[in-house]
Amino acid sequence: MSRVGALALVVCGLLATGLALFDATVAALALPPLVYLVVGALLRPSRIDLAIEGRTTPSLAMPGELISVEIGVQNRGGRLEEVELEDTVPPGLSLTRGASRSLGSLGSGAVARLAYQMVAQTGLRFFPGARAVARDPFGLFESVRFLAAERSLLVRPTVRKLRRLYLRPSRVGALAGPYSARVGGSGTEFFGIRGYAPGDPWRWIDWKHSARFPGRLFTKVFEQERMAEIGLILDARAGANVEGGPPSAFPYSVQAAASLADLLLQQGNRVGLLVYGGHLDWTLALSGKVQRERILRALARASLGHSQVFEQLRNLPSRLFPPDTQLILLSPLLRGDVTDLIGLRARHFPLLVISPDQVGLEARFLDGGASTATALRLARVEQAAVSRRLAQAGIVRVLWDTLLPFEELIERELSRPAPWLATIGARR
Amino acid sequence: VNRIRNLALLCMVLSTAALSVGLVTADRSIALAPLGLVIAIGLLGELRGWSGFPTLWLLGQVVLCASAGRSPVWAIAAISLALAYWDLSGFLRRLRHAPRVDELDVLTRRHLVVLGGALWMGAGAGVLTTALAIEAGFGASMAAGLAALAGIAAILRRPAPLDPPVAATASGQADRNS
Repeated sequence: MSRVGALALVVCGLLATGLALFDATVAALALPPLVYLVVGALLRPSRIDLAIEGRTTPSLAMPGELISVEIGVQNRGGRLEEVELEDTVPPGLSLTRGASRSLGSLGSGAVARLAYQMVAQTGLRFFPGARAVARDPFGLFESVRFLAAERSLLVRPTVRKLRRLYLRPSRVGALAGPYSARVGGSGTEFFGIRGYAPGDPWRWIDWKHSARFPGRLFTKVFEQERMAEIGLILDARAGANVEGGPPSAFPYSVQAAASLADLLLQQGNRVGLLVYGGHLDWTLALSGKVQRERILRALARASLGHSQVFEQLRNLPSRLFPPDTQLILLSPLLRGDVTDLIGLRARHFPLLVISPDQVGLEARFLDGGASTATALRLARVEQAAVSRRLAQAGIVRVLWDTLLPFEELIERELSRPAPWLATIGARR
Repeated sequence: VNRIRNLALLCMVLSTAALSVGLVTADRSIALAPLGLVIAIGLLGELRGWSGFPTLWLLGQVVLCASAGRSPVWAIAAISLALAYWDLSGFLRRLRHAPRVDELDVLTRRHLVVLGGALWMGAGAGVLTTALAIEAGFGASMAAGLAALAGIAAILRRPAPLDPPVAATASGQADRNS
């Protein structure tokens, strides 16, 4: 029951009893609560005229950085006896200092200030404004007003600096880049020898080889290095990731995508990003620093989502990627995804899968009982089986134990060709 | 905040004492037993910090005050102090609910001044009414009662202004966050 309702009940009850008993003293008892109610009604705020000014600094931040929020609310109307101000803090942010809500009285022309700090967490968040609740001094009647002061906070994901990443895309572009084009020409890696042709630079002549064939000259040919088109696919399906809480692999996938995009764009490649989850968020493949910013922004606003259409990878719109694009999927993977990935590989997309170890992440939050150990072993066996099936289809899957920094994982697993590739002559 | 709590408890004790005296002088000593129950409920609620108990306590106190109608001065004093306790409990809850209170002293002082004024006026009006011992017929009493009820209904019917942009902005934010 509301306060004013309880008070009305008291007054009406006493009046009704007094009238029913025809007893003036009982009816007179209603006067103190009646006067209290009338005073409250007379002092209730009839018109709220508040002006708001809000500032969030910085509006572009890195994870872990301190964000300061300042709100100033000026009363342009009459005195407000009791006013509660509350800035709307987006979900997922927790305050470290100050308060986002305050109570006080606000005289005409006076300014109330709210100041608080919080730790930035990856994402794009909107601060719509503050809510003002004005009351009479007894708290019987209240008026609510929303004061719009729209601000946004973009916290980009952490980018780990990677030194190198070995990829062997089946198609390369026209511009110079880091990947072998399997075509002779100018480059740094030795490709072969051919007879000298007028116009060849002198420094390319293979003198040792020419010495064996008097009267003839041979020129060294290098393998051309070109940029490639690379598509990053971030798995944002709620079913494939644990939703919310520390055991979720999703933040690791986001971090991996950001680090890879940073390196690949730095190398001059064209990189696109597809966030596949509750909906599709497609960033067209381009190159350059602006593209890096675009991808980081897309990653910042990525969140887990449910969708019946995108529950399985079979509906992944591969037409967004040009044929033979090198795809890098960042996903813990579900058992049913294997067939869909093999289908993708069958459509000539070279595919690399980086899987943050969801099992290991969850295992850290479980007790160490016998049943947990058995379940863990079974999950590991399943993971190995999935990796083997993918390998048989020519898909490289790297399982990322998240205790290991991502740059170390890349350095260890993906900075050089696999041993069998090195044996047949693949370089770098 | 502790001072307000102490003041609220003092009001509770004084209200109970005034009501006890009123019941005894009105030859309604039998009502002291339910009064004990009401006090116990009030103290339990106060100790546990249950938010609904001040209202329950007020309702119980009002019922007992009505039964002590033969000594109106004590009953009016008891009901005014019960109202003060109820009001201060609500004020205390609002203060505790807010993480930050600006100019607590000013806010408290103004609240106590307004509360004191309202209660003195109410109690004075009550005492004056009973002292004058106005003899009114059934029709006049009924008319006065109905007029009071109509006034209360008018006060309660006036809706608290709620700004329409609340809903619009909230949905807008949800859309953009999604």
